[in-house]
Amino acid sequence: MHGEYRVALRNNRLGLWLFFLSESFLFMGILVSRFYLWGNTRPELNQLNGLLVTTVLLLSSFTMNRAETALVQNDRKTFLNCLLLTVALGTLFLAGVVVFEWGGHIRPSDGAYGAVLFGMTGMHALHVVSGIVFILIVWNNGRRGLYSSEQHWGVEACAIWWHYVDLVWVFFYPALYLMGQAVH
Amino acid sequence: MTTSTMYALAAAAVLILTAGGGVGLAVLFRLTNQLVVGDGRLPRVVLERVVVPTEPMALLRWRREQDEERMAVARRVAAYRSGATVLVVLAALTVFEYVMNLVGISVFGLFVIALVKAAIIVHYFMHVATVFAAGDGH
Repeated sequence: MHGEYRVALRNNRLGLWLFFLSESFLFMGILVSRFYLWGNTRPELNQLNGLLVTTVLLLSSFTMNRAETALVQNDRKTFLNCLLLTVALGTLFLAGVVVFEWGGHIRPSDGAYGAVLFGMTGMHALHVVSGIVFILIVWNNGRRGLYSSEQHWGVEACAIWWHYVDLVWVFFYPALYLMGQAVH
Repeated sequence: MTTSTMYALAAAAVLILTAGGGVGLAVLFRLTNQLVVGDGRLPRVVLERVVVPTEPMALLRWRREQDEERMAVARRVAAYRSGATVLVVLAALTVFEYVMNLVGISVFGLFVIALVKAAIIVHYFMHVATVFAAGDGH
C-alpha cells in the first residue's frame, strides 16, 4: 500500500468516526426526548413488525459485511451480489417502517407519542435512505472496477455507515417497542 | 373408492410428501449453509478431469499453485465464517431481548443488552480498532 494512500486512509477513518460522534449527539438527543416525553410508557405498536424489521436490518448488516469481506478476498461477484442484497433488505426495512408503523393508528399529530415515534423512525429512515443511495453508488463503482482488495476506502466507508445505521436501531428498537408499559 | 384404498393412498401421499419435504429441506439447508458459512458460492459439480503434470518441475509448480488456491479458499471461508458467527450472536441477543421483555426485564436490563449488541457491531462490523491502526486494511 502506498504511503500517501495510507496517510489519507488514516485521516479518512478518523474523519468518519468524528462525524459519527457528531451524529451520535443528534440520535442521543432524540433518544433522551423519548424518555422525557414518554417516561415509562410507550404506544401500542406491532411487536411482530418491530422484531421483523430489526431482523431484516441485522441481516442487511451481515450482507454488507460479507460484501466488504468479499472484496478484500478478491471475490468480486459475491461483493456485487451482496451489495444488491443489502439494498433489497434496506428497502424492505423501510417498507416495514413506512407501511406498517406509519400507516398504523398513531399519527404525527397525536401529541408526544406521535411526535416522538415519527421523529425517531423518520430520522432513522432518512439515514437508511442515504445508506441505500451510498450503496448503489458503491455498487456502480464496483461494477466499473474502481475498487481493489487493497484500496477500497469508498466501500469501507459505505459499510461502516450502514453498520452505524444498524447501530442506531439497536438502541431505537427497545426504546420504541420494548421499554415501558404499553398504553392504548 | 373403498375406505381401505383411500387409507392406502393417503398413507402413500404422506410418505411421499414427508420424504420429498425432507429431501427438499436437506437440500435447502445444504445450500443455505454453503451460502452462509461456506465460501459464499453455491456448490457445483466439477466434471472436468484434473490433469496432473508428469514433468518434475511442472509437477512442483502445479502443486504450489494447488496449495496457494487451497489457502486462498481457506482464508475466504474463515473470513466469511467470522461474519456469520457475529450475525448468529446478534440474532440470538435480539431474540433474548424480546423474550426477556415478555418475562418483564427492567429498562436497565434492556439497555445493557443493547450496549452489548452495539459493542459487537462497533468491534466486528465497524472495525473501530482500525482507526488507531497503522493504516492497512482490516
